[in-house]
Amino acid sequence: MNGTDRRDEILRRATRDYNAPPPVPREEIWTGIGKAREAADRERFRRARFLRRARVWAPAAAAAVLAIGFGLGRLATRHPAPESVAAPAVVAQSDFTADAEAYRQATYPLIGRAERMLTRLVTADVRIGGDGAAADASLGAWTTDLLAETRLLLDSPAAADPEMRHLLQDLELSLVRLAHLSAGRRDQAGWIDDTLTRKALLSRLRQATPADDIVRF
Amino acid sequence: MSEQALIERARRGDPAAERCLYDAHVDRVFRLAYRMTGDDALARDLTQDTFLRAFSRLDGFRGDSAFGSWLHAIAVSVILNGLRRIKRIRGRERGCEDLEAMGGARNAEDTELKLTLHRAIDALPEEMRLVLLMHDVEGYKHHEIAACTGVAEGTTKARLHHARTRLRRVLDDSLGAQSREEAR
Repeated sequence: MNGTDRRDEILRRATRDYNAPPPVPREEIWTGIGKAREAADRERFRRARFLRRARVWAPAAAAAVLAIGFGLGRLATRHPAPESVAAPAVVAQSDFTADAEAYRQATYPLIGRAERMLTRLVTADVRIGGDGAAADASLGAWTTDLLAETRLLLDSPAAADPEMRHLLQDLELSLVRLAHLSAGRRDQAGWIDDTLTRKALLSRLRQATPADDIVRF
Repeated sequence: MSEQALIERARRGDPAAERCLYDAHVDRVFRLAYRMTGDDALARDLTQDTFLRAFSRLDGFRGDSAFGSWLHAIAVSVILNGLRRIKRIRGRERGCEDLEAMGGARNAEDTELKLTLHRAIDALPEEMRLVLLMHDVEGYKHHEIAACTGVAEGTTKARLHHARTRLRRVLDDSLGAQSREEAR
């Protein structure tokens, strides 16, 4: 045997002995195959049974979910959320407040002018003035304008405030009497003084007028 | 009964036919699995998987090739996938028991040489090792190996040539070292 043959022989032997297998365990492997197939069959059967049952209870579950949803919806409709009521109320309150404030602002000029006119009346430059005819004409026009405006305000939301309503009613009454006075009934002058004093109309008019309106007038 | 008839019966779920097919091919499949893995339990599992897959896909067997070729193609796929999955690193650092168990070792030098060559076979790429073991050990023909591995016959021949060349180089190095030892 030459060197090459010897090498090939060594290689052949080494390769043949590489992981030389033991006798084939035929029965054990066959048994393992049988068990694996049984396990696979059981799994297949379990899955099929699950799907079969799912066909029955899945529609029932879906119907139950729908019924619960429907019931909850009905319940929510019957008892509306408090927010849905509260929101309009807030808006109404807000609108009312805004309206009242607007009318109150419209009242201040009237009160300011009435206060100025009555102050002049009290100081007697109109009531006991030298030029009777001219003073009567001026007082009459002024009183008529104020009377009309007072009546409008008494019929407006500005009179919703009881204190303001009372003030406007007293003012209206005084203006009506002044209108009579300006029509030549100077005999009532004493009674007007008494009304202004007793009802403290002037001071109430001043208190009801904001400071800047007094300054402006 | 012909193999084709057995296959037809096995397709219909006949356990006896399946057993006949199993008996006819289990030895080669197990031997190849063991050669590639060197692990008895793993070789059993891979053999079992091979037949389970084959029986479950029997309807897909059209008879274009021999049943053995078709089955061994499945076996090679299962074995290579198993090896990649497990990534077992089998060190050849075997103990004294393993050395004694190695049959045919006439002396300590031969045993050492065989161990070195086995390490060299371990170190071969899997596709190269498969062709070497199938052809040189288990006696498969190149066309059978080509059918099992899904490559051209020329490729299997080239792989076998490269495997042998590497082993010869290792053998030459080992024999040279032994000669130098003896000269001293």
